[in-house]
Amino acid sequence: MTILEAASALRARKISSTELTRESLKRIARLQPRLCAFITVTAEGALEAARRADQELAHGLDRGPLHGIPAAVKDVYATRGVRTTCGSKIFADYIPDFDAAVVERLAAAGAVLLGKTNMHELAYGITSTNPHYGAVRNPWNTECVPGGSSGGSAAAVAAGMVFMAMGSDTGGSIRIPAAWCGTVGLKPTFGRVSRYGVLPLDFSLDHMGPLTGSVRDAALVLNVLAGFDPRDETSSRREVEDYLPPERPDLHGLRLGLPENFYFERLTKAAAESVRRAAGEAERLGAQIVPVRVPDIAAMNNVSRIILLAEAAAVMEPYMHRHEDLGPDVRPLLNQGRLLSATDYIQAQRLRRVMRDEFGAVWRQADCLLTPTTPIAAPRIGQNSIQTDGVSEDVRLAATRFVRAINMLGWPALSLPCGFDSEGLPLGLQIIGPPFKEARILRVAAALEPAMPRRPLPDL
Amino acid sequence: MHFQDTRSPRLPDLAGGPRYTLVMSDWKLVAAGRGFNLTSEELERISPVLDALESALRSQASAIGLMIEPAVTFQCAAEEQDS
Repeated sequence: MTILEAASALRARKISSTELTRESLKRIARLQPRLCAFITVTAEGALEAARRADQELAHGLDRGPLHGIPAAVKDVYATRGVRTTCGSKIFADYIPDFDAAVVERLAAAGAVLLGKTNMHELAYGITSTNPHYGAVRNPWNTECVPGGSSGGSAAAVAAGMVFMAMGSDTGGSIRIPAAWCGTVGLKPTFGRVSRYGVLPLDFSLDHMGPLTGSVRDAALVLNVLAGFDPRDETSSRREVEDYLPPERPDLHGLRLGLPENFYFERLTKAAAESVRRAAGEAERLGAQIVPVRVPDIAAMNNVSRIILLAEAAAVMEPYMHRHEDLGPDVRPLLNQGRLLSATDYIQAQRLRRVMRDEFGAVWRQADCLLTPTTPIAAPRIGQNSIQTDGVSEDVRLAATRFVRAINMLGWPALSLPCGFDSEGLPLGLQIIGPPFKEARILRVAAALEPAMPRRPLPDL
Repeated sequence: MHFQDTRSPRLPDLAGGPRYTLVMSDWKLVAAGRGFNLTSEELERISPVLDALESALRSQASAIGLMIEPAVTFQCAAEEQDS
């Protein structure tokens, strides 16, 4: 069931928020031992919020489509009175006395918060194999990772534990788990959704966005989250649109760029074919498919990594005396960042400006870009490298190869489920747009969604 | 396509040659100089990564003009644009 369907059932009194919440809590209780998708479940508070939502709806107070809908947030969002670990032992006992802006907005929209989802430690990785709170498992194959760092959010949505869950994305952390768990994942433009109250990984690369079961659900959530927040210095004052696309939009008049270089190199045949099939479908729906050449994305990934390493190290420097409490993959990353020079960081930020302008030229040729989200489907838990085209590559670098640069540019991007590999694992189509063109991306995704292959989730 | 700075005014090369001389960092010395207590095992693991990143960055940075400012307070689109 989607948010829109549940919202309609709630208003028709076919179901109550309390019933929806109880069902979700039951499913969490049953699946948590297998998936480890949550760090904290707030059952009591959720049932209270659900009862309140039912009373409000009964008295004619309708807060919109999220009113009474079970939801979750990644454990990187501050929640008043509920511990917020950031997936780290260092913050294991941190109980904020305030809510993140996103949590405030979800609460004001009447969403029912069921808990805090598990994640890669400090949001600094793509497996969500968390050394402190347990490895999140992929609902499509529990031997596989769900992706990360928002792995718990993706697993929870994919397994039907909640209707939506918030993630955060610094180098692909919403889009990668969305692709690997077969959900929709939306990374809005930098500045579109407030970062206030989110434990930072990287000040200039962190983006906040939802993971949902459908494109229109992602649009509904963005309608609630988007807008200026003076508490976030990078928050945009640009006007907010209605992001909800029509049910069956056509794509006439849109030029969709299909990169000729980089994005179709060193990836599995299934990943490439699923994206090309989606492009064919877009053409059938009226879009013009435009071959485009993109700039040196590998160079952009390099610059983006330097910014990430340096800023994350700066964030965590006050806690490095507790380095023994950090997991074995996060600690080396923080140490790398500490060793980089200030000059290198500044040069990276200067290159970022040049690269933004150069890649921005692509929007003269195309209205959106279609690319694979990742070159591979979900790897096994504990797998450190993958082989593509006979070349061995570190799993983290492979997983982020097509998504990382977009964080540096701050552009919006969405991952849409677009097929399965030979092992039945989901694959993602990445739709990238110009700044603040989320409505356009959502329109393209909503048009393609009904034509994308679907399969039922295996029994869990 | 390669990234080049086409916006900023060209300033003369000071010595007529490459503006960057690539001197690789000795990460062990950097760590010791900053008082970081890293084991040789940790340093061995991270040094190749840093070498590769630094080398690529410096090569890229040599192509940008002197007037380019860092995007430290980042805006993904200039204020006056509404693209």
